[in-house]
Amino acid sequence: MKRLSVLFLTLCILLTGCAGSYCETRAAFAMDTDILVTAYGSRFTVGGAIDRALAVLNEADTRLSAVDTGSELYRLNETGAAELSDATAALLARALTLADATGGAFDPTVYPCVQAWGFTSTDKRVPDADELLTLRAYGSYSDVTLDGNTAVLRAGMALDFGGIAKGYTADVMANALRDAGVTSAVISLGGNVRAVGSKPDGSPWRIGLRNPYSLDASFAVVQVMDCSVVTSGSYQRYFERDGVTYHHILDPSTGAPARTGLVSVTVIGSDGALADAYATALFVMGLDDALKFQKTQGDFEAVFVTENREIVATSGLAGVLSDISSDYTLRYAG
Amino acid sequence: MKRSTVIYIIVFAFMLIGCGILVLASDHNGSGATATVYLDGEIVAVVDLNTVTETWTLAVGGNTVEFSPGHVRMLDACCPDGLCVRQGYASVGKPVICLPNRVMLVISGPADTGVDAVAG
Repeated sequence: MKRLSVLFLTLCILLTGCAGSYCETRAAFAMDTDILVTAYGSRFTVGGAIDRALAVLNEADTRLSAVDTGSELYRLNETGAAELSDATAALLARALTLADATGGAFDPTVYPCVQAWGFTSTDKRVPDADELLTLRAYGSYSDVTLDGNTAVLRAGMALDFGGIAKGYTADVMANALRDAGVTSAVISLGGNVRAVGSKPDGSPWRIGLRNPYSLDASFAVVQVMDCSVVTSGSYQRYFERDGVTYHHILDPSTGAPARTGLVSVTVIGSDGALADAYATALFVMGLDDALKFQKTQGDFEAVFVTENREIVATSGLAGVLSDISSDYTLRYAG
Repeated sequence: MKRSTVIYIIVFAFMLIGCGILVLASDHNGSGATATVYLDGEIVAVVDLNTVTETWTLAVGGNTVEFSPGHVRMLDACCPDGLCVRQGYASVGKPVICLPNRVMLVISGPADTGVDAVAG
C-alpha cells in the first residue's frame, strides 16, 4: 500500500508538469495596420480566446475609425454632435483627460490638420502655416463638450483617436484574453505592444524597440510583464517633398510635424491608452520637457532616441533595458 | 485483492487518461517553425519550414513569397516602397508585413530572435 501511495504522489507531480504551453499566433488587418496575437495555454482554450480578442478588436475598429463612414466617430465629426456608446464616450473622456494632463501636447482635435497634410489619404501635400493655424483655431480639446454620452464639437472641429485607440484596444483585447482563461500572451497592433502576464515559464516578455535607422533591427530590448510598450516614431509615417521630410506626429500648437530633435519615443506603462497618448505627447514636448513631465507623473517609464543617436531612458528602466545596439550611446536621466 | 487497492488502480487509470489529454493539449507546435501566409487577414498557406528542402515561390496578392529550408521572405512586391522586401527573412516575433497589399508572413515556433515582439 505504501508503494502504491508513493506511485500516486509521483503521478500527481507528473500531472502538474504536463500542463505545458501550446502556442498560437494569429494575424489580422485592422485599424489601418497589421495585428498579431500570440497566446499560450491549453490547445482547447487558446484558439477561442484569440477569436474573442479579434472580435473585440473589430468591434472597437468599427466604432473608433475616423475614416469609416459607419463609425461613431465619423458621425460625430460629420454632424458636430452625437450620442455615443458607453465605451466610446468613456474613451473620449479618457482622451480629453490625457490631453489636459499633457497640456495639449496630445490633442485628438488636431485631426483637420492631419487631413490637410494628406496623412489619411494617398494625396500628400504641404499646407502653409496660415492654413494650419486657421484649422487649429476651430478649437482644441478644451472646446469638446461631453455631457453624459453626448459629445458636441465646435464648427469646423474634428476628432481622431489615432493617438490613443490602439493602446486602448490592446487593453480591451488583453482583458478578453484573460476572461477566456489566457494568462500568457503578447498583442501587437502595428508595433503597439501589450504583454499579458509573463511568458509561460514565468520570465518577463522581451520586447524589442525598433531601430529608427535600421527598421529590421531593434536598438534595445525591454523586459516586461503585464505592460504596454508603445512607440511614436517619425519614421513610422512620412513623405518627402522638395528634399524635406514631413512626418505624421503633428504638434497641436502649430499643426505641423513636431521637430524636437527626437526620432522615437517609447512609453512603457500598465495602461495602454495612457502609454499610447503619452508616446505622442512626449515626442511633441521634446526631450527636456518630456523628462520633466515624466518626473511629475511617475506612472510610466520612457525611452527616447535622439537625432544624434543617443538613447535616453528614465531611471526606472535601469536593469529592464538590455541588448543596446552598438550604434547608440545610452544614458539614464534623473 | 483489497478493496482499497482496486480504488487506487481505478484512480491511477483516470489520472493516466487525464495526463494523456494534457500532453496533447500542451503541444509545443513541434520542434520547428511554421510559416503562415496571410492575405487580407485570411490564411492562404501554412508551411512547416523544416520540411522545405529546396527553394520555391508563391504568388500572393501581387507579392512573391519565397520559401527556402528553414526560412521565408518576401522576394518581390508590386507596391512602390518595397519595405517588406527589405525586411529580409521573417522570424518569431518579427513578421514580414506588406501593408499596401495586406500580405503578412508570420512565424510560429521556438523564438530565435531573442524577442517576443517588436514595438515601433
